[in-house]
Amino acid sequence: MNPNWDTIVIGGGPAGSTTAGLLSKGGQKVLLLEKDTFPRFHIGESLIPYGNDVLHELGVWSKLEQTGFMPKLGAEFTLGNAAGFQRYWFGKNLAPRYAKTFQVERAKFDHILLQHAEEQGTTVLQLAKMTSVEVDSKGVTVAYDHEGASHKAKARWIVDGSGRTSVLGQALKVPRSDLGMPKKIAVFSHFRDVLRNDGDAGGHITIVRLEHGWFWFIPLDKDKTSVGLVQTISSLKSQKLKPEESFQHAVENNTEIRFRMKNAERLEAFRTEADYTFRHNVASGNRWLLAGDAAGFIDPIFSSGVMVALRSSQLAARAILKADAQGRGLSGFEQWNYTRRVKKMTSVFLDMIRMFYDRNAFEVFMGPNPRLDMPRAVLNLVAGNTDLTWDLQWRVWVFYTMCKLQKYIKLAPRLSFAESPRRPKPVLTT
Amino acid sequence: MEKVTLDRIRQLIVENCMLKVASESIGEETLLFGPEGLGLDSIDALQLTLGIESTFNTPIKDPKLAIQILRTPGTIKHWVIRQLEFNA
Repeated sequence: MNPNWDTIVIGGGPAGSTTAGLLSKGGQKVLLLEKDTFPRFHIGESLIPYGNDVLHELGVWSKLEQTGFMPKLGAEFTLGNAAGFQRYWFGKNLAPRYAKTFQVERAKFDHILLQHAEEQGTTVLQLAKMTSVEVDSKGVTVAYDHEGASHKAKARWIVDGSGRTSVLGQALKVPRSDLGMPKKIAVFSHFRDVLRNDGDAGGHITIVRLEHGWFWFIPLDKDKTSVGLVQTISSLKSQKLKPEESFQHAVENNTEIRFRMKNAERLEAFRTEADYTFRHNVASGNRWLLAGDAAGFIDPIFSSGVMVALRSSQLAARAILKADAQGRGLSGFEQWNYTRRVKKMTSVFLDMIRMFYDRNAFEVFMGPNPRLDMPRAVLNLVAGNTDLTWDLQWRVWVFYTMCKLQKYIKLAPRLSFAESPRRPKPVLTT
Repeated sequence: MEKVTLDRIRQLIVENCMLKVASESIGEETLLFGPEGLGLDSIDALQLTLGIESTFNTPIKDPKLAIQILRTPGTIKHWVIRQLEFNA
């Protein structure tokens, strides 16, 4: 195979295939190396509307509609004891193009995106594993194994879309931070016959906040629902239970979860992901960029992963096309600006994620003050709007200020996670 | 057992809190307390709590929980449906 390329992309998930698709569309010769073979399972099954623009630009939106992914019109949050409930509709207060997005089984979704990149002209090699990379001011040389042989490829650019492993970030020893977040563990699987919401809310993601942790319910299609429990590793350890036992325990002991799972049948083995929070301090050099999870991943709670992957890949592809047309690498300013913009996306979510895990702040989130049009500002955050206009920005500041004050002054009702005592089961007499 | 519908919940609110509004004018997400909503007070809350209990046989014993549950007609419906499933 021709060893000379314009750009080499590592990884065929949403970040890799979006970058590759946009670069190919822009006229570049792109080689994409994927270590796995598609379709393959991946977690992160809920999209948020502010990723829609990129799917439209890629030209893949209509394919997603035809595939029959579950339309997602909003998100809802409740408590394990079912007391308190906050439902958001994207169609209320957002531009029509953000009124809907999708819940996606990632095996299918990622495969569609990868095939789409191939249709745009990207050369995709599956079961191709990068073994080494050298980057200099002119470009990169990548060594990879494919079909039992070692190969070399050269390019002017390299984009790392390899996910949280971030093979390029590791190879270049890019410094990273855990952002001071406690280490967490997610345990999850796909189920049949999980109880759904009625009507248009049937495609909503449901987040159930427990005192120590939370559940996601993501309806994937007519039958299948993804259900997962996230908690801190220290909380799991204190229970002295295995992850799947902890999941079952939570199902039995929380009204909301038990209600939704009463007829549920598990379709696959449980899976776990742990200790996933990190962010690279720098996301670009003059010939390389980190996109999506490879740049950083904070937490699954607000479903930001795919959105950040799509949007950062769009920025990466634009930066490359612009500099490449002028026959140069990325300037210091462009590198800094790319890092800044990707960090800004993750920072908006970092604030929300910290809010969600803080009990006082969560109380404000569950009872946003309608007087200041607060629910609209929160809706924008939930939808993934990371470029807030001024009229939303100040509301968001007020919201977070209220979140901080809630510890001292009751600005929103205090929440109780207590379960109502269960009535004893009737004793059967023979 | 009585079915939990939005209409029934709205009717309970109007009856127990002696509101002079048509129950259809109350939305699923209308706030029951505060100036932005129906402006119910603590007496109304108590009446409504008792009304819910006697209608559905679902007592709300913790006042903190009551405030959470009685936020909107939607939150009442959400909670009562689940109580009936496991506690009735």
